[in-house]
Amino acid sequence: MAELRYRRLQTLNRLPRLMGNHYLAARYLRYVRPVAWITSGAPVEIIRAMGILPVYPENYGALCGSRQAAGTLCQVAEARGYSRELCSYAKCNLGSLAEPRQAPLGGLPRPTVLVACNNICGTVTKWYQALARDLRVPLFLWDTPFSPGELTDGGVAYAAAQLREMVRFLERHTGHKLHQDRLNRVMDKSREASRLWSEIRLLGRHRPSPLNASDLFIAMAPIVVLRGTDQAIDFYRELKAELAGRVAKGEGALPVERYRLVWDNIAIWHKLLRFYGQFLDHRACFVADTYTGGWGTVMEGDDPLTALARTYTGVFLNRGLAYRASQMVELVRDFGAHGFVMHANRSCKPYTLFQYDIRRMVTEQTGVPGLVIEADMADPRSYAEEAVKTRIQAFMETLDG
Amino acid sequence: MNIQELVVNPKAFWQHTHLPGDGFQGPWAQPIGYLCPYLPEEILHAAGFTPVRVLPRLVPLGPVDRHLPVNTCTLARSFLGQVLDGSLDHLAGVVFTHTCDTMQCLAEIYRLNFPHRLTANLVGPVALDAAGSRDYLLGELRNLVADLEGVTGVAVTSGRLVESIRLYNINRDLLQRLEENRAGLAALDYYTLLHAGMLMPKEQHNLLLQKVLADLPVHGQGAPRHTKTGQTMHQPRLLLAGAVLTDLALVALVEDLGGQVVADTLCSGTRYFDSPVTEGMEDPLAALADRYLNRLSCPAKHSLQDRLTPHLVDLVKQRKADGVIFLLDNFCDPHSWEYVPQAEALAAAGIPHLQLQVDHTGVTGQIRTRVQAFLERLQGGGQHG
Ligand code: SF4
Ligand code: SF4
Repeated sequence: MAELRYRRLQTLNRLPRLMGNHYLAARYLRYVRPVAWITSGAPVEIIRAMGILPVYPENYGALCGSRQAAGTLCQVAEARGYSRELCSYAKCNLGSLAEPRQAPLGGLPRPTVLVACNNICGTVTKWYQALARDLRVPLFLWDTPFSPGELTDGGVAYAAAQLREMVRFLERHTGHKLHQDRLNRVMDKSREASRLWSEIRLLGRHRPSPLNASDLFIAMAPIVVLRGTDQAIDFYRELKAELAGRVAKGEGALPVERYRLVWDNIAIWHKLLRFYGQFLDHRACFVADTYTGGWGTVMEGDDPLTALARTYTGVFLNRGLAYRASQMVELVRDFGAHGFVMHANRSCKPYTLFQYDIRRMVTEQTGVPGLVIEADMADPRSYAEEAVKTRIQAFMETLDG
Repeated sequence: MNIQELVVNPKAFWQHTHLPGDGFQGPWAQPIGYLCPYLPEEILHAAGFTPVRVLPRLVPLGPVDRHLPVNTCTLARSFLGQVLDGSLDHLAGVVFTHTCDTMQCLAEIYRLNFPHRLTANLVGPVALDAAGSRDYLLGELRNLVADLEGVTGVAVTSGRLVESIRLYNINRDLLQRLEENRAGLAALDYYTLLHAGMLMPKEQHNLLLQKVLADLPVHGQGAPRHTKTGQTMHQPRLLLAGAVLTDLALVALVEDLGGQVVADTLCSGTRYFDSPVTEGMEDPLAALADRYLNRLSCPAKHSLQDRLTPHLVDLVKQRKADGVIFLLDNFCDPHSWEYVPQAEALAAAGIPHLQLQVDHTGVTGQIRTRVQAFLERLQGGGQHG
């Protein structure tokens, strides 16, 4: 079986404990500390610095996906009238509230406040509105304007003005204060983790690549969820050392690396081993991806709130088509890829809708082919096993040709 | 061609000069397209264009598949279909405004695939009452003005903006009056008139509306009408909720089957012309910004207080509607999300509703059957016997 031939990174064995502790802490510490449910692109640094426990419903959605619980939980949400077409992460979360007994970990510990940032999508606006209504919990929506081109000063100033308001909101609803020195400390830790994370991702440039994107998908949980903590830094230091060791020995993630590919979009969590295993059969390694790069930007600037505003407004999902295409072109070139695979993720419109144009542009500019696979990150109901297999087979044959 | 045929064909409509009520001699300022009414049309008008709203049309979508996946809303797919088949060649360009993820991507696809066409994108605030939202919006409106001035060489002066605001406010006022008297018109005629106004110069539409209003018999609301077979019967009074009306045939269907459309919260319906722009403010752009922030909001926006759901329930009561029909695009995320709290609020108020999935296939047999069943249920409900 494919996964048996796959060289597993030892550091990843630490993850279940690390993440388990995170969820456990949230479950018990919530009696003494306020809990915030936040989106993956929310400024967790402020939340941590204020001593509020961050909990990530999107990460929970991924967890439901990999534990094969997403289909059921989505159906629970759909029974209430949420359309089949809406984001499966959101429906996992809403479904888990309605049916905690069917939900992994029994669902998430209840929040004191909700903080959503629309830098990743408009879905989170509606999703968190729904949560605020159902749970009767105050919501802060951080509105970070989409940038078709460069970030504008007006957009950054608007985002920064709201951050000041967010701090007041959090102080009002949790009674906790924001101390500048604590914020600076958390931001330093967050920068350090992001720096390590981007260095780790760059190791994929080596031939053979010491890592496959599926490793990154597993390894990314702390950069999303534990950003700003020492645990995240320790974990990534260790992971980087292990990968550097592989590089030094000339050892790749795959026993034989024949093809190098770039991945676009969120992982297919419910088929992590099966789906990526099909590429291993072809000796193809995903040496880079766009998804996990979302957390690799290192904040710059002196004024912390402006630095946060600029960084979070500028995340790739909040940027135009040209930016997104050039990002793919760079990955293909810098990592020496032979092709790229795009997951047309039916849950996530901002990530998916202009993929066809990106594919054309990237192929025009790099000469390498791209494959589009239709699926969903968490919900297995939109996955046509045989069709996917055939398309991968055909694509790999074009690379062979 | 009559107005109903014209209204579904914007290019023919544009070329057609002899509309009923037409007192104008062309030529008109060049048409420019836009999709979402969060774009202040007054700015386009003051820049020397005639703003024309691109509404969904049933055009072949094969070529669209090269750009957009099938799970994209009809508005977006149909827009691109019309661009690709040349139906929108008469437009000077298209100006977008950020509303949802789909619109954000659509604007980008247009900009990159048609680099030589005029385009701009107003990225306004989503959080309407956020700290700094008004300043930010004003800045973006100024940027839009500067972009347009750069293209046309025409200065968008305060004086021009004030005149455009006046013209558009007159139009809103006339549409408001038409809406209050909608019982005197068949729903198909009402929505045709409304959609026509989005395609033609407002100068001309205002004349048309004045003429229609003058001729309109004053109807008592809910006056019994005759069915095709001639008997009178209770016509269930309906409110239509949703985004853009994708197909005028839908409203015709509802009335053909014996319903009466008495109100709506559609984006191409009442939400198009609600809330006039405040006149007499020193900075007309600030007045436009205020309308953007204060108008009855779209589900794609966020505000501290949800006004849309209470508005829906109030409107049902005010217009004594018997039920609500949601016209939902399966692939429109903001409205699909909003459907749940709205449906729950209606249920709590004891108001029946029907959810119809409408898409590019138009009025299907299934839609017909479901509307019919819903109307029968309302008639059988005994409220009006
Ligand atoms: S729509 Fe996409 S970015 Fe938004 S929550 Fe869902 S998966 Fe995440
Ligand atoms: S709000 Fe809905 S109908 Fe309008 S563009 Fe967005 S997805 Fe399409």
